[in-house]
Amino acid sequence: MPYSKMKLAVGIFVVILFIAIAMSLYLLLKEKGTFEKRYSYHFTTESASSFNIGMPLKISGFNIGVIDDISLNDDGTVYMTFSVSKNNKKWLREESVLILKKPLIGSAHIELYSAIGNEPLQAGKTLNIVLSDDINDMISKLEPAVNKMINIINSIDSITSYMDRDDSELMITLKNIEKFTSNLANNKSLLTTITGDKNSTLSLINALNETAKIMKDISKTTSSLDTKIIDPSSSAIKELDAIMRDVKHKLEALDATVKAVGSYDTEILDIKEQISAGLQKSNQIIDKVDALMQDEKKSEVTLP
Amino acid sequence: MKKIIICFSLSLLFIGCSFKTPPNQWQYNSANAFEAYKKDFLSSNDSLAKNDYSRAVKHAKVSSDLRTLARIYLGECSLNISVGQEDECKKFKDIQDVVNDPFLNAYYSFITFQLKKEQIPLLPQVYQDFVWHVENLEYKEANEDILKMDEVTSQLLAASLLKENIHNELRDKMIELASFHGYKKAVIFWLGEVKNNTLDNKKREEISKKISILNTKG
Repeated sequence: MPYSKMKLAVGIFVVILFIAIAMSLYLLLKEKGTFEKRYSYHFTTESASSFNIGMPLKISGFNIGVIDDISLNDDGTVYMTFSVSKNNKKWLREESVLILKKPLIGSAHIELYSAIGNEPLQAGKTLNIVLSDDINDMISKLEPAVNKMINIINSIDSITSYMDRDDSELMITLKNIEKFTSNLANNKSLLTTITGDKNSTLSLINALNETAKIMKDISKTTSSLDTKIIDPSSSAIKELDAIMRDVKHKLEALDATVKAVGSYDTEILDIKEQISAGLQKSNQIIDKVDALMQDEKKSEVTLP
Repeated sequence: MKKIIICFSLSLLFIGCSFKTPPNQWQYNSANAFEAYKKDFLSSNDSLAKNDYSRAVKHAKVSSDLRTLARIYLGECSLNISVGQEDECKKFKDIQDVVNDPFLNAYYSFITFQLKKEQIPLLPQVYQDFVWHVENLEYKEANEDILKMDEVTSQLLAASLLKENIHNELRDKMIELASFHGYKKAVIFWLGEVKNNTLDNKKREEISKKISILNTKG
């Protein structure tokens, strides 16, 4: 091929290559929406924290736009500008609301709640934004519940302290019951009205007095029992309990040991078998060595 | 050097290939193990002797022909007797009726002092003259017969069987013979025999010391 033709071919190849690269780049950028016209909208917040340029704007989980600019107003509020493509402009309607979502898991984003059916929102208009913080929301929702629980605890405390007082209605009622029962025991006429017979009343009083004596005796007996029998028995039972616990622990340890020994037993058997195999092999070698060492080959055992 | 190694390896290979294992290899193995047992037993290498003996028995127990096993049992018994240990050959007696070999029965009778005249021709040739001389109470000749025997183990056995009628020179000869071969058990036995049959106290003390030294480990 002549040199001039070769230069032409190389030139054409290079030009086609550049065109192909440029076309590919263009198509890629076009597909990305770089050349599409974008429509800007605004909203104002108290703080720029949790916002950043490039932050996505979503509707139903799909990205439809990004924050393009963040600037500080003279009154200290923050002015934000976001843009959407021509295709996604349809989602922005009159009375649409933006909500800043800060989920417990995942990055923060702006969710658009579009009022479908309303008139489309003109570019350059301002929208309202609501800040939603999942963690803070949770805390703020829990706060009243916690306050209520504290109130309930305080109420229970005040009720129990009131009941515990000597002049509380419960205490007074209990004292009245006590007085009534003592009067019932002492006042013969009252008892007579109930029994209908003086002798019966006396018998009842005697029986009550006797019962009191018996109760005192029983009390004495039980107190002596307490020192002589119950206390030692109790301590003995405690000791027995401690012994039984100790025995249980030891049995558990023994059980583990027995199991371990069982596993060792199989291991020992394996080792024994291996040693036996090794010995048999060494015996075979010894047989061969013996055969080599013998001066003459004999097939019969020679007696002394 | 390389050539030598190659030639040596090839020679080993050819030698290895030239050996053909006989079908009755067990008999050879048993006989070889018993030969080793005899030496190790007499040399007081008890652990090795035990191993040799068990190998010999193991190899002998692969066949229904129990003559090899019977010979091993008799050999063990006669070795014990040859070093002065009492042995009634119980193992042999247990299988004697099964084996029923007249030669082995004659040998058994010989080592247990139950030999009958008609059994004498059935004994190994090496003991024939010896037994006839003992039978005829010709102990001097019997002593000489012992010295004429080729095998040391045969000499030791015959001497121990005749120990009551052996003269002192032969006892010393037995010690010398056993010592030369390193048969410790036989040495100790014959030292004891010499000690029991001498009136020389000095010699007795000397022998006691020797026995003590031989019996001491380390």
